[in-house]
Amino acid sequence: MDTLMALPTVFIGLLVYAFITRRGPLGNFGMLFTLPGIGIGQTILALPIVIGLSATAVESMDQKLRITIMSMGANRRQLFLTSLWECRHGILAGAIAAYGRVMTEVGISMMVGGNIKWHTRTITTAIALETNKGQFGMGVALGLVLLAIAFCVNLSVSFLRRRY
Amino acid sequence: MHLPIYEIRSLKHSYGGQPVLSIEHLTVKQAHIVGLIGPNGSGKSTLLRLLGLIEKPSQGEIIFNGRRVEPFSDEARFLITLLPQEPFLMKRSVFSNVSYGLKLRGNGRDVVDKANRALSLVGLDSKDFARRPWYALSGGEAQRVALAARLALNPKVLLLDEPTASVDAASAQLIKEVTLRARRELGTTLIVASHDWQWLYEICDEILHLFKGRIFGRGRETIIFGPWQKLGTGTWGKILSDKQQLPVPPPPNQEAAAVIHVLSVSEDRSTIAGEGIILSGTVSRLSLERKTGQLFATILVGDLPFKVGLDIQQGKEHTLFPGRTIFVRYRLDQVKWI
Repeated sequence: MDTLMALPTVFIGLLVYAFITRRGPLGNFGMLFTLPGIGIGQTILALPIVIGLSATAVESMDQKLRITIMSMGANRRQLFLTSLWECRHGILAGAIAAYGRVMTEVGISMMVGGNIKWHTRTITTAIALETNKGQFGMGVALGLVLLAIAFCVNLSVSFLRRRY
Repeated sequence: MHLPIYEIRSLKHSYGGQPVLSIEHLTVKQAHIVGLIGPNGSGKSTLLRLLGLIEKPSQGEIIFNGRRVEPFSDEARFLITLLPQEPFLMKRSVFSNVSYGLKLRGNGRDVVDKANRALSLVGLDSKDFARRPWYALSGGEAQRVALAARLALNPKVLLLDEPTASVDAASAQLIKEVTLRARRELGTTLIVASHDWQWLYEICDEILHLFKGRIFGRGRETIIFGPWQKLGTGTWGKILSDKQQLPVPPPPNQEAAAVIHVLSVSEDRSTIAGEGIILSGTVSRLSLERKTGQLFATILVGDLPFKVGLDIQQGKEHTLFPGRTIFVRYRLDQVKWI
């Protein structure tokens, strides 16, 4: 799982491309150069991070939590749900890390999405394109937008953490 | 005749193949207070976790109210609750912690009242504390909140694992009072593991002495731990810090623990009645066992605490008081090994 957490995005892009290209096993679905195609690649990118960090959060749960919940009279389902709620901060941290990785990746979007204007262009592929065109100003501006989005997400999450 | 609230039959429990508890038969009567005494690692916490239906015994059965129970048993999970040794609160407010168990029971309407009452029982003002997050509490406050969460449930059985070990004297006193009140007012059965022997002897109807996972006595025995050495006279024993020799019969192994039953005490070596080994010591603690009306004396022989039960008349005859030098007598043929 740890290795999968560090998968290079271009490699995932290559794999997904190989599967959904017209000649690939899933070619009939016509997903190459579509948003669902990018979605598949980014899910493969995010899932190991979410699973790995959530598993770490669950594993590091204190044995005393289980004793406490059971001693209050919880049944199995309540024990599971309460335990999950108790490690919400760890799971949320996993989700944020995965979100950050998905937001900032270029490889999958470029290879599977094709960077088609108004169709599959993402902020990161747009930055790459603008830089290639020599439009550094536009590239920096888009980079700042990306930064602002990341900041807003983290701000909301830290608010939620404090609230719950 | 009342059914015992607990009955344990042929119970064995092990962790990773290592046996930690073995109890052939044990019953606990309703509304009794049972004390568990024993050194660290003797199986007290394990026994409480098994009785609290947190873990399933490796072998044997636990009968609660006449029915065989195990973790998550519907017959018992709302009636038994365990307060672990270290205070542990869920990551939520004090109120949510206290009301958690009530909500599990579907006590929707009067949750707020019950939780507030439980908080005030443990000396915490709900106005000040109810909204506080779990991390904004001292160790003693956290333990009291954890206790309030249990008391709010009006349990039939309250299992306490060294409830006063990690709190200050004031919190300890409050915890002691509140648990006794639960038994007095609600008829709660209390099973308490504690190193505070004096407290246990004062409050308990029954005391169980655990050592290496076995119950071997009712708490009156003096246990002396190894290692043992050969004394100059060829007999086995220990040389105490005050240079006295404590002879014992040949031990089964170097690390075995000797159980010594003190037969009599006297303030004068020459007048002590009966045969046996006589050692001098100092009375270090004297307490009254309320249930039996007996005196319970701890006598330091060298650095080793010998425990002696006496009736009040004997206490008067020997003019026992802490600091008094006194002689204790035991017999080698009555020393047991565990």
